[in-house]
Amino acid sequence: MPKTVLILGGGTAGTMTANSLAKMLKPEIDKEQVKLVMLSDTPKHIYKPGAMYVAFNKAYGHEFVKDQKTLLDIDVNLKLDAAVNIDFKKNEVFGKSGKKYEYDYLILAVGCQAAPERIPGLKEAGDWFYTYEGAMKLAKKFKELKSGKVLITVNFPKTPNIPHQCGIAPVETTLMLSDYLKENGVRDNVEIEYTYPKLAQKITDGLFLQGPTSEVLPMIYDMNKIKHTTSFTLAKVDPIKKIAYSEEGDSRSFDILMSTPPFIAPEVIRNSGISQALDNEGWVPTDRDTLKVKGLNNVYALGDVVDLPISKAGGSVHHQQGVVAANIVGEIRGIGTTSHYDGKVIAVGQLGLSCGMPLWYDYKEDVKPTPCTKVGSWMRLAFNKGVYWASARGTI
Amino acid sequence: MSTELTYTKEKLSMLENTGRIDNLIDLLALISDGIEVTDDGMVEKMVQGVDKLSAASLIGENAIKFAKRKLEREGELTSVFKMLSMMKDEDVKKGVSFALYALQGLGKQL
Repeated sequence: MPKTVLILGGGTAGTMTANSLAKMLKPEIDKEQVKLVMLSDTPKHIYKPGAMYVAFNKAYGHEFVKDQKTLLDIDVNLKLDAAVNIDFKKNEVFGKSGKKYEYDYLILAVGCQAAPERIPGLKEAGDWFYTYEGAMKLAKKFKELKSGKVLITVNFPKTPNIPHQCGIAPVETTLMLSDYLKENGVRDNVEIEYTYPKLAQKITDGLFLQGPTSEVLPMIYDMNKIKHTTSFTLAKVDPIKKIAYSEEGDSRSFDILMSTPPFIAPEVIRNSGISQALDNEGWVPTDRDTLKVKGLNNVYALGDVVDLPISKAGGSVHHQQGVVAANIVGEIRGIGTTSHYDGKVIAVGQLGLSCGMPLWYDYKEDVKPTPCTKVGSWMRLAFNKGVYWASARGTI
Repeated sequence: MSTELTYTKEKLSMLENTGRIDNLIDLLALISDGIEVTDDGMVEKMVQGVDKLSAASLIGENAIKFAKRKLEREGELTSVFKMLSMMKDEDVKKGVSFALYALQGLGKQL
């Protein structure tokens, strides 16, 4: 019987890991000793960061979606089914279809999801760009905006030292909004206020989740006439009066509330009993070095679902997937785990509509902010429109 | 003058003394001009080429890997009957149709 590596999730993490495994395990697959199975609940692959551009009418959205099977190595057997239950003792995953999927090694690459319902009133009154539906709603509102106030709020998980999805996104979209309103000739009539919670991972009373960037942001925001307020931890929203209230007792009115909502792990993980995260957020306890799930010898996790203090973004996944793949290959070949994740994240921050800043950090070093440039913006554009897909296919 | 600036000045002097500085300034000017004349549309078209090449490369790799493995596991198609019976396979039908349509598209351009 061939050993089965089951990959849960067909997003960036699942796709990149599956393609790496297909290349590395080719000798075993040739001999029918190993088979790769991917379980995904959708035939489409969505490049999530593209939604941000949709919100500012710089993209339609369809350019960031492809058929999942066109991105996969032929040795990855794609099964379209939603995982609804996992039995870690019996090494089985159950699908919505009623089918059972057995595995020898399991990779949890299921991502995370926005949960605005966790803040009273946010679902009714807020907008967010983390989904295409949300981004399209925002795009319409921003296009019609001639005057008023846009309030930006950011929520972090209740579980300590875990980031929300894509840490830099609130900063990116705040600066993109300012540029977009300038383009439309209405910037002087619209007030933008960026707020940040009191506690953001290890930073208290800052504007970003890392110290060096938090320190330079006031200057950047002042240059762009963007108000900035720290220690505004969004607690509830009054959708009728359009007022946001903070845990610290403060309040702000708004015309548009562009929020980074709470994020949680998907239901299948939250119901699996594997997580000890607060408030049933479901983050998977993951070894920061091997990316193996703590307490389970044949299960790995990567991407947005892990409980690591590292950005929940493609720039992290790119470096995690090689570690997971190498460690599973090592285990299958009987030599155990061989690869180590150092917390590396590489990305290009879109700091305005035509300004990009390459950034990198790891467990030890924070991002060192540098001035954004036009060339940096092209690097991001190149990644969004071409390099990402090549990277997901594993061809570069 | 700071240590860093002194170091940089020494390095630049070396380039000047060895007759390279003019070429390097020309090269920097060329890069600067390139940045000036490039726009988002140009970058987008160039990287879409990367996407297309990558897609073609994966399709080709997948097809070759599949065919090679079939050949190793099932051997050659030794008779016309076996070849014709393959035509009943849904994937073969799809592949043949695709190849014929691609040829038609090619012909239209000749």
